[in-house]
Amino acid sequence: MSIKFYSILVMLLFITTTSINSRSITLLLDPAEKSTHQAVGNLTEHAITIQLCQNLKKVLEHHYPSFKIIITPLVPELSQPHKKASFANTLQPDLLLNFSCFYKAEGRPLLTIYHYGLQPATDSLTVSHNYLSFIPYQKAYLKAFGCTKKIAHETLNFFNAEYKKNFECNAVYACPLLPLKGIMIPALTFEMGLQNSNDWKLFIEPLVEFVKRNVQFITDSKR
Amino acid sequence: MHKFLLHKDFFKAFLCFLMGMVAYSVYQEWIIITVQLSMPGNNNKQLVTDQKELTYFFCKANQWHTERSQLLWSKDELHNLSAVIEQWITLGKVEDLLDKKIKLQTATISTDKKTAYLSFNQSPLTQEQAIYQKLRVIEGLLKTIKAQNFTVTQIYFLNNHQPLQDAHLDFAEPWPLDGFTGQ
Repeated sequence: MSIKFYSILVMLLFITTTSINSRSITLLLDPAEKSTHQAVGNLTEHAITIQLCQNLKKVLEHHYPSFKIIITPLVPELSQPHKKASFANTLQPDLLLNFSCFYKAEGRPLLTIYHYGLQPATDSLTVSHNYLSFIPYQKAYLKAFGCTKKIAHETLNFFNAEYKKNFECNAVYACPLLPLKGIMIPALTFEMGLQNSNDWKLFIEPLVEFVKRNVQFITDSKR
Repeated sequence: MHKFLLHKDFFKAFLCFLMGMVAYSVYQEWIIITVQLSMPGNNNKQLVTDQKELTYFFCKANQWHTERSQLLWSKDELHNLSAVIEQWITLGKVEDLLDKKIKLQTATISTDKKTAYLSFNQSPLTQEQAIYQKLRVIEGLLKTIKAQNFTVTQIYFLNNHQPLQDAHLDFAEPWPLDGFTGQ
């Protein structure tokens, strides 16, 4: 009886460990929906944002065939922020990257990184939530706040060190961003100021490097 | 007699119907009832004024600028807050940072004097602005209010007495006076 019990226990432990290790990494790419239709070169800001996401998906799938890369469907059902948050929280990807391109009249391409924050003084002090905790919609970001903040600041330093020739890196801001409201997983917004319609290509390589550097950290921190 | 009773009931029913209509109109905000309580001494408060030099902050071309100007300072915090914001709006219009039509409709302060509610006739932000540019417009106002040492610590931004709607920033929650850019 005891041999049977222990063998089942060992088998269950083995299955759990292997399932964690072989768990594929999922990334959700979210092109900003409400960007204006201002033109950047011969394309609109919105068209460039979608183009950037589709190309990034292709490159990431090529580099990391085991990753699941999903682009948020551009359907009216997901146009409301709380519905998008619900979609992201149900899908449970490892990382959500929201992209927004805007027209910049002059100067080099500019990147600004954002993550959700509501109370600068107390956000970092929040106690960790367990699996069964009820979390209000407006406080959902706190679940991954520490992890998100760390990634955002490290990414800014990394981009400043390695890709200064490609684009100017503005800063990291933690503020109440509507596209990231209610999302419980680590989520960042990359806002890119572009002068020409092809400037988005300058961001593909840095973003692939960003994924490479951070996905393992996020997956480890979730365990 | 029977007719009289019928008439009286009819009158009561009509009265109830009227009251119901009024109550429903108030509920639907078709009729807005405001009570203006005039406390003795309130007017005197506003009359006691000093001239004070204030600093206004605004961000133009990614650079923070300050502007100093004189303002009549009363003992009524709400009056001062409204005056400071109106002056900041005027400055924003002169510097081409804000739309010419923007106005402060109402400013109120909660009873604990910690939260202010500012209602504008239109959004001070434009659709074409990047998120960091929008943040800087709001931060300019927050910095200006903070510099005057009001008791207020957070602000609700409203448009026509409803939370301000923006494609990027969320104004459903109050914004802390310290802002989000840390500048």
